[in-house]
Formats: sequence, structure tokens, C-alpha cells
Amino acid sequence: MIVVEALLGFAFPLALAFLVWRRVSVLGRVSRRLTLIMALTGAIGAALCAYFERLVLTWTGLSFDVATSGASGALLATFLLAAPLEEACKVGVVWPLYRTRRIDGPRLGVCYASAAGAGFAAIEAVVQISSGGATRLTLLRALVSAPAHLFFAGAWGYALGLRGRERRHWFSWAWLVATLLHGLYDHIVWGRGPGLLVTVMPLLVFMGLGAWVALRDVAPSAVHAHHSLIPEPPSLQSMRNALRPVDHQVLVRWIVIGAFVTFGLVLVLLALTIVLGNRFGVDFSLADESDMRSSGPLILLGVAVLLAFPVAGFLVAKASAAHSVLEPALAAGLALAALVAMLFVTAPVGVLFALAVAPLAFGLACGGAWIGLER
Amino acid sequence: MKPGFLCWSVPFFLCALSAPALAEDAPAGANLEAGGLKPPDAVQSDQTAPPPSPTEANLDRADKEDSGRGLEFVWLNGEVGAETLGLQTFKANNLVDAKLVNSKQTGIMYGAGVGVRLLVFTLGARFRLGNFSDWDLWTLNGEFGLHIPLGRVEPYFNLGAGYASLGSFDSKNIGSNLSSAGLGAKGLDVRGAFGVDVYLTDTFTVGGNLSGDLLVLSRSGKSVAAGATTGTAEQQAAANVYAKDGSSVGAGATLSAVLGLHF
Repeated sequence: MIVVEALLGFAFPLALAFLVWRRVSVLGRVSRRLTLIMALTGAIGAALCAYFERLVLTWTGLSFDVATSGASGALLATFLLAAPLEEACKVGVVWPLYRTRRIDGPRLGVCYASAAGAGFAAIEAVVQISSGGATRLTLLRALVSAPAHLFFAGAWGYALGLRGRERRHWFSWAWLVATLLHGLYDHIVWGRGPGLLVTVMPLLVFMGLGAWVALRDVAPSAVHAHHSLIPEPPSLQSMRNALRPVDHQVLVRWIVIGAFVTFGLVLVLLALTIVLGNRFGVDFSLADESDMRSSGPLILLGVAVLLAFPVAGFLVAKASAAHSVLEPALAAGLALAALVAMLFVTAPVGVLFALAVAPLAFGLACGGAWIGLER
Repeated sequence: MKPGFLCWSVPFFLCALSAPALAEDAPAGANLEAGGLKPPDAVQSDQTAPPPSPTEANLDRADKEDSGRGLEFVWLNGEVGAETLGLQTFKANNLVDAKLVNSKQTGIMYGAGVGVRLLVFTLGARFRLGNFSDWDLWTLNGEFGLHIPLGRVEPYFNLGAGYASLGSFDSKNIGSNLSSAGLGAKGLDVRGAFGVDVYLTDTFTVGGNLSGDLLVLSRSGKSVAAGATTGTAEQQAAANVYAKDGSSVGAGATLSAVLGLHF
């Protein structure tokens, strides 16, 4: 059984990398040899990282698992050791290609970085499954963890590919944000109980949508645009244009009002969900970090929170007769910051939940505002 | 200062800040030597280590004992129920001859599905056969689902789409020649469903499912040899209708009882 689980955990990220490679090859073949070398080197890097992490964890007595070293210890181990070390290792794998000018654009940056991420995830899965007692939970965690390795590596790989083309360099910021989000993701997946695994769902959806948009941007497919039933996502350029302030003016008044509207709507929808849930017999006290079957209340509350953002974005854009998504987007950011601050004081574990929801919520707010724009 | 330098230095700066705290938490039993270096002895001994909090104990127990509870990778289920279907609810373009064939019927539906599950998302395939008095309809759909686990009860929403095939027309209505000529239609089926599963054990569920279908069907003309058309005058008139192409947009609703296995 352990062999089957290890094989599954090994093959899944590589299959995802193959899909990425095939998608970016529509504009011309991407070197299969270099992609394979990236995956292989990423795998070697994962083995070295696993060894080094184990060494440091043994020495410090820390663990990625909250049950072993407490929340603060697990957070320290994840954010200060695992996340930066692993992302830095993947950068180290891809960097020689960048230095030798083999990455001439975001298309190759995404492909090679995600291949390195896939190789890394494949070995990480094997290590975790073989050392974690080969439980089904470890397999699930490995499977959920794989897309994050590809996505976050792909994100800074995209920025790395842009370095030669644009005057402003985003690589450092992309790497930092990818590292922080990957740390958050890893902490929930590997450090928390199985009942909290559902809280990575918004991040999973965000990564899926982000990959869809980015792959369309780096490798637009004319065939896909004309023959697919699924609508094409907006391009990154059109998103940048939508976020640009009209006449270089930012309407601070609408940002503050928008933040109040968003925060208020979040509270109203949460209250409504609890009232309706109670009416239909949903026990919200059921939520238990150690039991996957009790994650329903978290899903209901998460849906309520997420629903508030596109509605608020739409309302703010309509009310302000906006020509730019910038104000509703900043308002959503401000509301999210307020939500995190409030949870930090009242229920610290909720901060994780809010941060996991934040990227998707922000994207949905922008989407709602975009629909409500004056045209 | 360059932002790039700032990015790289933040984690290490935080590491440096937290180093004393980490050193204090070093386990007593750790005795690691590497590269000729020996780590300092731990400050705390095992006797003074604080006992795990109830939450930590619960998490530990969950990892050790309950790691299989609520975890599913594969599901399969069988269902039986009642289906009411209108072949030409939204658009009628000679898919069937409405004088001879009742386009709106209620019958028995049998179905089976199989798929995989990741967290609360499911992905699978579902076959359904609707058995009606004048015709049969089968569908084979891909299906995506979102489940909301609430203890032993699990509501879910499904969205699916796939292939639909209409056939086995009653020869009493359309005549034996058309029936034996294999008159039928095919097209697209789009389905939305809401259901509830109740876990009787960790692997076995019973439940109910309410689904709605949108059917876009078309058929090519089916002509029988001249003089071979037998039967009533209506059936002969119907043969003229079925000689031409036809299409329709229909809708249906199904209520079924579901038995499921989850691994």
C-alpha cells in the first residue's frame, strides 16, 4: 500500500507539470530536455531540503505540526525555515538557466520554474509518505500540497521571465509573496488538523484561476479562443489597465466607504448564514479541527465571506460611477486587513482562515467591481 | 536600500530575532552532532516539559487514531428514482411527431456513478437510463461536485454535462419499420443536482438526490423504403415527419434514492 501511495504522490505533481509544459508549448516547443532537467534538479533539491529541515528541526526541537510544537513553534518552523528554504532551493535550480539567458520570457520562466516545483513536490510527497506512516491523510496532504509547489514557483518564474523585458523588476516581490503564501498554505496543509484542510480550498481555487489566467497570458491559443465553450479569462494586461487610476487620481473617500460596505456585508452575510444554518439544523459548534466530517460549517461561513466581496465590489463601483477597479480593490484590501486585525484580537486561529480566503476574496471583489464599471 | 535585498533579508532577520526563543524550546533529548559541532545542552529537562494542552492532545489523537475518518479518495453509487421529462419543453422542431408520441412523460430512472474525491470536491462520471413508456433516454455525463460535510450528514451540489441518447421508440406509435430502422436522437445533456448523503458507516451511505436536466437533442432524417410503410394513416404521416431532420430543447427533473460506497 505504501508503494501505491508513494507512486500516486510522486506522479501527481509530474502530471500537472506535463500539462503546463504541453500548454506552454502551443506557441512553439519548449525544450523537453531542459524541462526534465529542471524537474530532476528540483527533486534533488527536495531531498537535500528534507535532510536539512530534519536536521534543523531535530536540533531546535521544533516541528511543522501544531500538535507537536504548538502553534507558534509550527509557524516559526514553516515561515522561517520551510517556506524560504524550499522556494530559495527552487530558485537555485532555475537560476542557472536565467543566467545563461535560456529564459527569454515569462513563458519559459513559468514552464521551467513549475517543472522544478513539480520535481520538488514529487520527492517531498515520497519523503512524507514514507516517513509519515503512509496514512491516507498523509497522501491527501501530499496531493493537496503539489499544486502549490507548481503555482508558487510558476509565479516567481513568470516574474523572472519578465526581468529581461521590463524596466521594473518584480521578481523579488513575487518571490516574497509566493514564499509567504506558500508558508501559509503549508502550515494549514501539514501543520493543522485534517478538519482545517478545507480552509485551503479558497487558495486552491485562487491558484487554479491564477494558473488559468497566467497560462492564457504566456501562451494564448487561437484555437482555444474560438472553439471552446468555456469563456477566455481576462488577460493580465487588461487587469492592469482596469486597476489603473483614472486621470492619476485615487478617490480616497470611496476607498474608505467601500471598506465599510465590504466589512458590513461580510458581517451581514455571516449573520444570515448562521441564522439560516440554525433554522436548517446546522450545528456550527460541530467544527472540529481533528475531524474532516465536521468541516461543513467552515465551508458555509467561507462561502458567506467570499460572497460578500464581489457583491461589495459591484455596489461600490456602481455607487461611485467608477471607471477604474482601483478604489473597490483597495477598499476590499482595507476590509480584509480590518478582518484580519479583528480576528487577531478575538480569535487568532481565525487569522489563518482570513488569510487563506484573502487572495480569492480580493480577486472576486475586483471581478464584481469590473462588472459594475461605468462603460 | 534595494527592495530585492529587503525581500531576501526579511526571513533571515526574523530568524535571527527568534533564535533565542528557538534555543529555549530545544528538546532535552536532542543530541545531534554534525561536522564536528555539538549543539548546546538543552535548558529544560523532560520532567519540566509542560503537558500538552487539550487541543494539542486532540490533534495528536486525530492524527494517530482518526486519520481515516472522513477521508475519501474514491466513491461509487447506484440510484433509482422517478424522472419526468419533456423532450420539447423549450423548443420543438419535429424531433418527434407530437400526435403519435407523447413528448412529456414520467418513468423510472436507474443510474450509477463513479469518481474521485479531493477534500470536498468530487469529479466523476455518471450513467443514467430513463425508462419511459414511449421511449428510453440514456445519458453519460462528467460530473463535478461540492460537498458540505456536517458530521454524518453531507449535503452536496453537482454540476455535470455529457452525452444524451434518445431511442427505443415504441413501435405501436411510430410503426414497426421506423422502429426497426433505429429511429433515435442524440445530443447534449446539462445537469444540476442537489442531494444529501447520510453516512450509516464510514464507507456506506444512503441518500436522496434531486436533479434537473437540460437536453439539447437532434436527429437526422430517417426514411423507410417506399411501399414499406405499413400501419395506420397517422403512422404513415409520421414517417413523412421522421424523414426530415429534427431537433429540440427539453428539460427534466429526477428524484432518486442513492446508495453509495466511499473509500
